[in-house]
Amino acid sequence: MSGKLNWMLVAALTAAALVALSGLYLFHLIGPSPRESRSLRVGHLVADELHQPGWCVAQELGFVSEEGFEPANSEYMNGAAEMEHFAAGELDVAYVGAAPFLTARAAGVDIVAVASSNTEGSSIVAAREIRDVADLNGMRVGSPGIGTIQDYILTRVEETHGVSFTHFYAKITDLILYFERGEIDAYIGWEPHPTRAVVEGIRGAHTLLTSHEILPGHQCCVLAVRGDMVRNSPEVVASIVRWHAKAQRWVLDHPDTAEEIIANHSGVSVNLIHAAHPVVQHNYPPYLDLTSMRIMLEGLMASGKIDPEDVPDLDSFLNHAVDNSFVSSLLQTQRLSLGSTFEPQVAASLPRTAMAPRGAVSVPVSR
Amino acid sequence: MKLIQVEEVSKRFGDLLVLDRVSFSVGDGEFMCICGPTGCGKTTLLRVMAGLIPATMGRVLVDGQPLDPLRHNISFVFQEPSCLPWKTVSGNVRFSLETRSAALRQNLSKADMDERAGRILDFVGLQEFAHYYPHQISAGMKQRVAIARAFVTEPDLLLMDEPFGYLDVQTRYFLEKEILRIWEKLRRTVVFVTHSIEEAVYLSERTMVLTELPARVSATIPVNLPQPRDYDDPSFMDLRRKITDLIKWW
Amino acid sequence: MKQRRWQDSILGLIVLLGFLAAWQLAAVVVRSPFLPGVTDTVGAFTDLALHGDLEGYSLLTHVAVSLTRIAAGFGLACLLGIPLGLLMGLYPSVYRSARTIVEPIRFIPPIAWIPIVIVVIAGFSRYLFIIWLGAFFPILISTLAGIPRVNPVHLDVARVHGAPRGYLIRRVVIPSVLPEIFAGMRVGLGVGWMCIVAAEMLGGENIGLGRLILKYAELFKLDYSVAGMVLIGLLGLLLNEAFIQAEKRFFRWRWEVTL
Repeated sequence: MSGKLNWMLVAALTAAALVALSGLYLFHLIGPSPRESRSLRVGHLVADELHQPGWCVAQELGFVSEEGFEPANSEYMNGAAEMEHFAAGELDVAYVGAAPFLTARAAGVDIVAVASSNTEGSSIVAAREIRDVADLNGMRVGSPGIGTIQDYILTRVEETHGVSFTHFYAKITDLILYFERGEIDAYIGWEPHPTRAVVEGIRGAHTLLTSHEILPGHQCCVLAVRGDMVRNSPEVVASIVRWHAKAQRWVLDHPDTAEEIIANHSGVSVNLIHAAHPVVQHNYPPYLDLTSMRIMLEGLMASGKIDPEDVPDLDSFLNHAVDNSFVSSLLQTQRLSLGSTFEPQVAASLPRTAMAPRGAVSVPVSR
Repeated sequence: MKLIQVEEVSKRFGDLLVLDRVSFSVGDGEFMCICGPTGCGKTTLLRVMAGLIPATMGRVLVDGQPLDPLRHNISFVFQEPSCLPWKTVSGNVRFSLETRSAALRQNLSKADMDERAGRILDFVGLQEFAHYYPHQISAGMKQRVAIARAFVTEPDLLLMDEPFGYLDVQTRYFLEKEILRIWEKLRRTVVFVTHSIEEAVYLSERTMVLTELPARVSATIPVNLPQPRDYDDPSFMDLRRKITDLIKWW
Repeated sequence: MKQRRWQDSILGLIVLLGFLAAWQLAAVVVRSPFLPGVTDTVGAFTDLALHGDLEGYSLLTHVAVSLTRIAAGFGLACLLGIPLGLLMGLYPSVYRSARTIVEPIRFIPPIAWIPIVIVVIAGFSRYLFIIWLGAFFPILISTLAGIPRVNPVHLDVARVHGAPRGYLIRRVVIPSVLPEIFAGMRVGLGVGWMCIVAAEMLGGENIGLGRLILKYAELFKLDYSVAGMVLIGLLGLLLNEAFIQAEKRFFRWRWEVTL
């Protein structure tokens, strides 16, 4: 009997040891260490190059390699998915919406936003029967995901206009399909997906509201990096911000060529990009807009998407989450070394003026 | 009582000839045993007589008509356990009545069938176990259920293929007495295949002996001993020896 | 026998407690905000049970919606699988000719169907189809594989009494195959249940247990997601147990009396 007991004990201990080892391996506590080379893992959203032109323009035009990086790109269905992968340590840089960024940060992801990618840039399209917002009452409105900015904007529309509708969730690229089949009568998304329905004339689609009309100048997509990079290798972050800012500038100066590059990467026609372009603002200098981010943060907390216990002090939270200093230093040094190349100036080619950042960490940038 | 005639029945499986022009007749409520060397085709003969497999040549007649399981009332007790496991003991016994009724489109009433089944179960001494399932009763009892099921339809011909082959010796002795008792009361024509010569002499009114493959009728031995028979009786042992000599292939 | 039962239960309880302890330990050691411990998960579950989810849907709604979807898919799988299985089992030529289509389809995982399902089917039928895909094949295969296993002696017993073919099928083949059909149904229900998350990845209204898991995962509230996972597992277990009990009742003739 004791012989049998010994065997059982040995078997049990071996099994426990194996389980423990596998667990440690899975949680990265042992096993191969992360890469240290100059490769840069950049994440972005699917067909969102209009909001996030920085990465593709900068790579196309060689700005990234000039800084000595070898980029590796990954694409995600929405910001929440991207943040999940970021949290797992698969990305160094993320182009992501402000709402999923805030949600991730509140959940404890070590991520810091260091520049703006775009402001505004979403719209609600609706079928021809829906003439104004009141008609949305009781309808089903498509949304690309519960953690997205667009979902937040929908909630805001419900509150400010006193209407109530069902949020119908689907992948951004599927929303137009559901709309066409009549399962939803309106949807919100980041451009160019809403305008696509208008351009293709599906169910007489028309733009009901743009995000400019819902929350003017609101921060949309941000450029975010790993928190440990900001703390331990700020010069790397500075390089990243530099190629990003160069690309943003370039988009503003060369809108037509930019649209071509964007159309190429998104896999949609240049006409569509051109039609949707006015809705999107690429603010320059690419400061992050804290005011609108604060409003969004409050909204996310109110709807239960972020736990208030994770954000005891909103302002302190935002100050740690958002770091505009890289943009300001960049402007300082560039002005000193290269003259007027990176002058903050209003882009002349867009019908609406880029909104000046409010509440940003201010460094005087007067001409 | 109907007369069953087996006329020049031959059965071939591919190249193998199993039965070679077997002819005999049986009827009138008699109890006939068939003996023969192991593997000589006794089961095949029985299956042809039941209409389960067709004869290659020759035919089986019932009262002059070609045998037809649908028209003629035939029962079979198999060597292996054949109780339907999802039916109780009484359900099994009723099954043959139900099948017969459905086949002939007779629509026997349930009450009628219940009554007949109850009577036969009573008679074989299994009434107490009527609601038991086959897996709850012993092997010997399972065969008694099969026997009851075979008798309840009052068949013209009752075929039994070594029904006690899988049972232990004590149960065999008991069931041999039982089958005689049942047969003496109900008097149906029984053709009983066995490899046990002792059993054949104990049970039968006559024993037909088959040759080795391909099987032909070697001899038919009448067994005129009075019942109840005694295994140790000299005449019993004489007949045993006689039949053994006919069969002896070893 | 009763003593053995108690022993098994206690052993089972010890294994469960051991697992929970290991889980909690792992959560403490790893200390990631994304690996909820036992206490976090229980807290999240309680919150869901008492207050519903963040959109206001109660836990009961989620459960009811998922159960409805599964019931529909499973029901359809039985309705199609059992007769087709019987047909293919009784007429092997049908099975042989159908194999060229059935076998490849059987191996396409339900998730892979999602893009087609979105475009080709609409509404509730989408969920129906994905669940059906999971449940159908075990039922079909168990049924058709059971038929050759019918004991020939049982068929002979009926044949000797003149049973026509239809009678044989109804009164001998089907009762023989029934336990295997049931087993196939139980497996099918299990697989269909596991497909619920794949089905609910389709999007749409945010209700359903699978949707619950995904919804909270998008918000990084993994303690709620895991609570949803645990609930799915428990419900699946309950369904399976219910099936086993039903099998025991129906097939008393198979089980030993002592169980």
